[in-house]
Amino acid sequence: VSGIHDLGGVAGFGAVKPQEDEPVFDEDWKRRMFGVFVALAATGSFNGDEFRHAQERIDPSVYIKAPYYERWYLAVQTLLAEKRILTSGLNHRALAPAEVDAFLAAGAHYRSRQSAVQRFWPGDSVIVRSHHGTGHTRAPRYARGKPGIVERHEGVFTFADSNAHGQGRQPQSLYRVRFLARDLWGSDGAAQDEVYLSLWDAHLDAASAADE
Amino acid sequence: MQGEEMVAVENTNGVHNMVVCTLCSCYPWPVLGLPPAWYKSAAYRSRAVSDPRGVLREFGLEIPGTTQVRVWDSNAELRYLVLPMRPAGTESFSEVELAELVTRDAMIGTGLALSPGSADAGRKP
Repeated sequence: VSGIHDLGGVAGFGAVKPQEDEPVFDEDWKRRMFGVFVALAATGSFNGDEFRHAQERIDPSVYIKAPYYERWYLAVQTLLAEKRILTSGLNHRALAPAEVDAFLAAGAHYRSRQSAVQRFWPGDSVIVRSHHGTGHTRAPRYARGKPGIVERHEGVFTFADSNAHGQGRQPQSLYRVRFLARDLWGSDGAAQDEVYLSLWDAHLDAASAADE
Repeated sequence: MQGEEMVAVENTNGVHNMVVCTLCSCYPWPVLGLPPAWYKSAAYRSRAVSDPRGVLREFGLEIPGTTQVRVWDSNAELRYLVLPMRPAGTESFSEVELAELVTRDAMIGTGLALSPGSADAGRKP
């Protein structure tokens, strides 16, 4: 299944409207919400995949209309409640302002030093698996069941689909996969154009195996 | 944060690259800052992959049919930065002078590097 957030190829949203001289935050509550997110992420209250999944679980009719940072607000609210951070007082501390720069500079690392099986090699033909359960997945709907060519092994990375669900990082091989626009969109795609995705081992089958 | 794994993709005469995040709003914060509202909009997220040439037209870019458009969907933890083509007439430019011509949108792929002396040169995005 796919959530409302899985927007690639969905019709009806109209033209893109770039805005000149846009401020980073056009309202002060958005700046504050960004700060709240950084403080909670830095103190280990949740990981980025849990945060994305919490946004994906927002009521679809709300998700599609809500201002961007309202989605952050709703997701943070969900995670604080589910993890009982507000009620238990456990596993939580305040982030000191002096710690912020160091946290942002240190970043959140998803590349793994663990080894993992590499099932595919550059040039291999693959098919994106069609079944991805009901949780968080990084395999977008528009690519499922579609053929692609592996262009590169990116390395071993935290598997977001498990990390979003408290199942640990379970690192897997990540591949750069190239798709022809025509394979994704039929005759609506330009014959010469391509789309690139990063897909984990669990998202892919060998094209020959899928044919059988 | 958000820039731990950066990949630069190069525009050439035959290839134009553009970057999107269809699932959320992933963007290389440390180099480009927080994304503009349009990058996070449903319109851009939905159409950048299925109608990239139409989206680019809304930014005033007409990509010729002889040029391939490559769309990079930032669906994992890699963040993409487009390396724009060097504008004509800048062969003698220093790195600093060239940087003046590179806009945010040129690095997302929804713009080109500015031409030297153009009305927009030195202006962001």
